Formats: sequence, structure tokens, C-alpha cells
Amino acid sequence: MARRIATVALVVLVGGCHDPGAVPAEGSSGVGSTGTTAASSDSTSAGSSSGTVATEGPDPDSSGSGTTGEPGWEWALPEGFPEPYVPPDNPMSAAKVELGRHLFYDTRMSGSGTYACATCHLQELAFTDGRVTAVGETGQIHRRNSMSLANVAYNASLTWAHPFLTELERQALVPMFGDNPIELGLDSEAELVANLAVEPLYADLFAAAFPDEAEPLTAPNVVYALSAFQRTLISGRSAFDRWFYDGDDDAVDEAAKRGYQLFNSHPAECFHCHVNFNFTDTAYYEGASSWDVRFHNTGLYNVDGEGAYPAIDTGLVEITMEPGDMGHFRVPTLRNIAVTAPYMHDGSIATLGEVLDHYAAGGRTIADGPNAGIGSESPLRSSFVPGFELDAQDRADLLAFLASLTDDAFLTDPALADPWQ
Amino acid sequence: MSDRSACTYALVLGSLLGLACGGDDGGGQADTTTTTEGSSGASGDPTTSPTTTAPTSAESTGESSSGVADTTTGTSTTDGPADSSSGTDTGEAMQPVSINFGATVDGEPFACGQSYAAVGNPPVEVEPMDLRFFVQDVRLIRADDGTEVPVVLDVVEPWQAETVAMVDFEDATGACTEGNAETRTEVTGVVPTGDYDGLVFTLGVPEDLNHADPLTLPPPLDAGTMTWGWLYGYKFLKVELRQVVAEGVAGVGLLHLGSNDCTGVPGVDEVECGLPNRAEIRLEGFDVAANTAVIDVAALFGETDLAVESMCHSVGDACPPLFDRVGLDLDTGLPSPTQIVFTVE
Repeated sequence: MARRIATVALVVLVGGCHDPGAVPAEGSSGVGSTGTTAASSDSTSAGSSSGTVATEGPDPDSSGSGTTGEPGWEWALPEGFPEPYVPPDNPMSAAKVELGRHLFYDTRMSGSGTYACATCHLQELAFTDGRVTAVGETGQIHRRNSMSLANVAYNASLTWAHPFLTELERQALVPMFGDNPIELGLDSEAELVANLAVEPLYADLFAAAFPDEAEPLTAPNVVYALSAFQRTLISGRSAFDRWFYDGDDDAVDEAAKRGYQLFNSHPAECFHCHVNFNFTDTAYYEGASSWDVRFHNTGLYNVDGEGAYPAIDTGLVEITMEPGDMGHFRVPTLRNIAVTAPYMHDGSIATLGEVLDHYAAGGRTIADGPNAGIGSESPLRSSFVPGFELDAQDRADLLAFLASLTDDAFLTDPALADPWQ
Repeated sequence: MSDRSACTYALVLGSLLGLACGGDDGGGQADTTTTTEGSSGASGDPTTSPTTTAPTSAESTGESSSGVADTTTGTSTTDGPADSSSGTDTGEAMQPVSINFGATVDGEPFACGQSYAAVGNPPVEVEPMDLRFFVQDVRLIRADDGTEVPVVLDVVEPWQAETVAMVDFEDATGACTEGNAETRTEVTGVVPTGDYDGLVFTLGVPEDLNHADPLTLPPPLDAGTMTWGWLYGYKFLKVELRQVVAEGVAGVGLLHLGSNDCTGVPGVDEVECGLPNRAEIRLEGFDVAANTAVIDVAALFGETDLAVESMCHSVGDACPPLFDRVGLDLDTGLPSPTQIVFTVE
């Protein structure tokens, strides 16, 4: 109970100290509300269709606002963006971020020396890879689409469907050491350290990032630095932001503005799940009142008439083993969505227009083949995917709005680019 | 090591202070909405299995270099079968033991790089890809009264920490590619001096360590291919075979045992697993000085079709016969008296 009380107290404190201008304007849209608070009201109407796992945040006493970085660290946050949550044992520093950037783009991070994090997370594609599903260092084809890392610092949970992988530091072990599927294909901490030790540049980079350690080139420090770098992958200066937050009325055209109205309209219901500054309902950050992790079934598949997804990937149910969690996946951010095709957890929809068609139909119908089924008739489908009328004008307007979320500065920011080039 | 020790210390401190909150949640049981309200004050840190209490005899104390030892101190329990003998009382005479492990494939010595002509059902030619496992709660059975006496493990880097040891037959040759050249075929420790005629051990990593961050733990629990990032725990047993084929797609036999159906954010909540999947191996008539505990991989896969992809990641269609043969109830994740994989030789 002590933690719960302390958490509430922190919210009050932050609310009182922060410049109100830094908080997204409320009332204007779903975007304006802080996600986790808004989400609690959603949960009552979500019925049985939305899997939610809510846990409390980490101990606020050790992670209060202003302690997310080493002395001298300053976040460069877009208007409307709260301060990211940073684990107390891995405070941000410029040296750590720079080391992490080198590691992120370094193929020595793989067992074969051919793969880096960046192999599947390309900056120009908002740190996705353009593939239907990813391919690991051994050539193994994965079952899931590479997720965007844009604003990954704000994700309350990581990967497509995992309620308990909540920190980048812990999640990193999956691609590094996982064997099903093999991603980076590392066998051991010792192998990783030996791989990196041959690069002379790392002596200085590790020493600068971890100045108190005699032998800083360690596997934990690799993960710390990678996580620190990933927390700087912040995208919030799209045309939409220049219009919505900065008041530049010319930043987007009328089609995008109409599309934004449709996005927030009730027949479409997009805003329920793609909510707040990051257009997802699972945001977590400094001062967030709770740590809500949410998953939804969108009726993408219904192979047995009872809502089943293809056996190769059934989503959240694999972790929770709760039958009702079949086909539940996390809501990805919509930022830069126009450059992250193909879409959905399995990359099974090629274009954004077809994604809109899927939601307009209230679920996808697959006429034949092993995955045939009528998604709109799935008993597990979210109540936020009821289907809606979508004429050609509406479709074009929604696409214009989604395109306005592309942040070209983010996609070309030299600070986030390959330092080995 | 300093950073690791600090991390481990933080972990322990958090545990002692009740910061790692246990959730009286529904365990994901109700509907599809799960709310894990972190309630603090999870005292006692109940482990699902007994842990040995560190002895006070000089022989095996003072191993404070192990973060694992630090972690278990203060959270260990004295409940459970291991406690019945009071075998670690101060002043009792202790004797060293070395428990030998072996591996075979239908009676032939297991070796990476070798192939075996007829394994599985129907029998096909296979070659090993991996064979490693963790043991915890190692006990010897007293010859006179049948009580179980805990073996206090030596701390032997990189193989043994205070409450867990690794046995490793993978030597990075042939089709074995996920480990290293070193192997380990013994578990060492001390027991009270006496006569013993049986061996009991659990395939597993103790619950209080299983969900800790591997990057904060010393070997054998450091991060690597025995860690299971997806299930945020460890593979207790990792056995992999590959069919030998001249052309086409090779079949695979795979068993990764680990705790499943877990809830709780590691490092924040107390993680609880509905399916512990820790098999207890009981070998009567085991003379620690003369015998070897042998795992036979062909016995494990005796009902498995190795001409196709038969993979059990502690869940999946391939699991039922494998769980049965290793002595686990697939539905409860609890030990069952059905194991035929380990024998005394």
C-alpha cells in the first residue's frame, strides 16, 4: 500500500510543478488526454473484448521527475510529450546514449557478426524493416512484423503481445539471446563481450559512459547503453504536431484536418485505442498514475468461428494462457505509420488503405485458404471495432491525416543515424 | 563484478523491503481483463521449493562472492522435505560429495557430433544439438531411515551457485552450436557424514532466482541460451535433436522446460507461475560413490516423431509424451511419478 499512496502523491506533485502547457490540451480530442487515466474509463465499456493487465509503476521514490538522467542530461522533448520513465538503475547520459547508438548499429552484436539491431530497425522506416515479417541472422523467417521503435520509451509494455516485458533493459535479452526465433543469435554474455572487445573505439565509449567502472565493457552495460539510446528515439514533430500543438494552421491540408475529425468520431472509434500523444493506449511516463498494459483483438482472423487466430501466432494467450486473450495484441503507435508498411502483427495487410478497410468492415474476411474466416463475426473482437461507413472521401481524408503523422526530421535525424558510416 | 553485486544487492534489498510486490490478482483467471494491483508487504517470499540453509561449518561458508548466495540469504525457507533431517546443524560432521551425471542415447554415450541410428517413433537417425539442465534441491536419502538430506552445493564458477547447479553435455561440436566447449558432468557439495542410498533432485532454478534479471546474476545464471527472455525465466532443461537427412527438411525433437503461465512484471511484482514445471527426479538405490545419474535422450523422445518438427516449449502439441516421460503433469506443472528418463548406472 505504501507504494500506491506514494504514486498518487507523486501525481499531485507533478501536476502542481509542471508547466500546464507541457501537458496536451484536454477536451479537444482523445489525443489530449493522458492515456492511462483515460484508459480506466475505457475499460468499463470495453467489456470482454479488451485484455488489460494493469500493474503499478515502479517505486516513485527513486524515479521522481528530474532524476531520469545524470547531471547535465536534458531531454529534448516535443511540445505535448511527458518525460519518459527511466529505470533508476540506468539514468540517462549523453555518453551512454552515444555508446548505445554505436552498439545499435554494430553487427558485432550478433553471433555471426552479420546482424545488428538496426538490421531490422531502419531509421528511414521509423525503425521498422519493410518486411512482412522479420528475418533473423541465421536466415530464419520470423512470425512477426518488426515493430517501430519510435517513442519506444513510452511503451508500457514491449513487443506485440507481452504484458510483463515492460523495460527495454529486460526486453533486450529476447533478441540478443533468444533461440525461438533466433534474432541476433548470441550464445552468452562472454561471446558478446569478446565480440565487442576487438573494436578499439569501444574502450573510450564504454569508459565515458560508465566512468566509475574499472572494466566497463560488460553485457549489463551493453544493455544499459542500448536502452538509453532507444529512449532518445522520440518522434513528435510531424506536420500534425506543427498544426495541433504549435498552431500552424498551414502545416496540414484540409483533408488531413477532416481525417483527424473522422479519426475522433464515434462511428470510426479509432481514438479509443490510438489515444494520447503517442496514439496508443499503453503509454507510460514520469508522473503517469498507473501502469496500464492493454491488448485488443481486432477481428483480423476468425479461423474457427470462435475467434481463433492461426496457430502460428495467437497473441497474448500464449503468455497468459487465458482463452479469452486469443488474438489480443498491443496497439502500436500511429506516428510515422505511413512509412512502416506492411501492417499488423504478422504484416498481413500491405497498405494503410487496406487497414482502413479492415476496420471499416469491423474485421477482416478471408474467403478461402487455411486462414479463412469472417473476422467481424469473431466473439473475441473488440467492441471498439464495430465497423463503420467509409466512403471514398472519408478514406482519402483518413489517409491524409495518417500521412501527416510522418516525422521527416525523425527519419533523417543525424543523431539517431549509423555512427559507423 | 562491482556493478553486478550492486544490482543484486538492490534486488535483495527490494525483496526484503517488500518493494517487489506480490499481487493477489486473479492470476489472469477472470475473463480477459486482468488487473494486477500490486499489493506490498509480500513477506516471507514463499518459494515453491525448499532451499538449503547455509551451513555454519567452515568448509562451505564464506562464498560471498556469489550474488546468488546473497540473494538467497534472508529469503530462504526451512520448510519442506529438505529440512526434515536437520542435516545442516552447526557442528555436525560433513563429508564432500560429487554426484556424477551421464547422458546416453538408447544406451550409447551422448556426444555432440555423433549420430544415432534409431531414435523416436518411428525410429529415425538423429544427431544432438543441445543437452543442458539446471538442478536445485539436491538431496541424498539416508540408508537407515529414508529421510532426505540436502546437499549443500559448493559455489563453483561458472557451474554452481549456492542453490543451483548446471549440468552441461553440450561441447560446441557437430550440430551443437548454442553453448561452449566446456562441459560439466558432476554436481559437488557437502552432506552430513552418513550412509546414503538414494538421490533426489529437482530440474529447475529456484523460484526466487528464476525471474531475476540474468544480467545481475553470476554464472551459471548469467544471460545466454539457457535464459528464456520470452518467459522471463530460465530453461530448466534444454534438449534438442535434429534428424539426419540427405536432403529435404530435417525433423527436430526439442524440449525446453521452464515455468509457464506466469504473471507479474519481473523486478516490480512478485512473479507467480501457474505451471512451475519443475520435475523431481528420484533415484532409489543410488550410491553416490559408485553410481551415475544418467539421462537417456532416446527414452525422452521414445514416443516422438523426429521426422517432423516436434517442439515442446513447455507448451505445444509435442509436449504430452515428453512431460510424462520427464515426470511432469502437463496440466498442473507439478511433478508426477512417471519419469523414465533418468536412471541409475
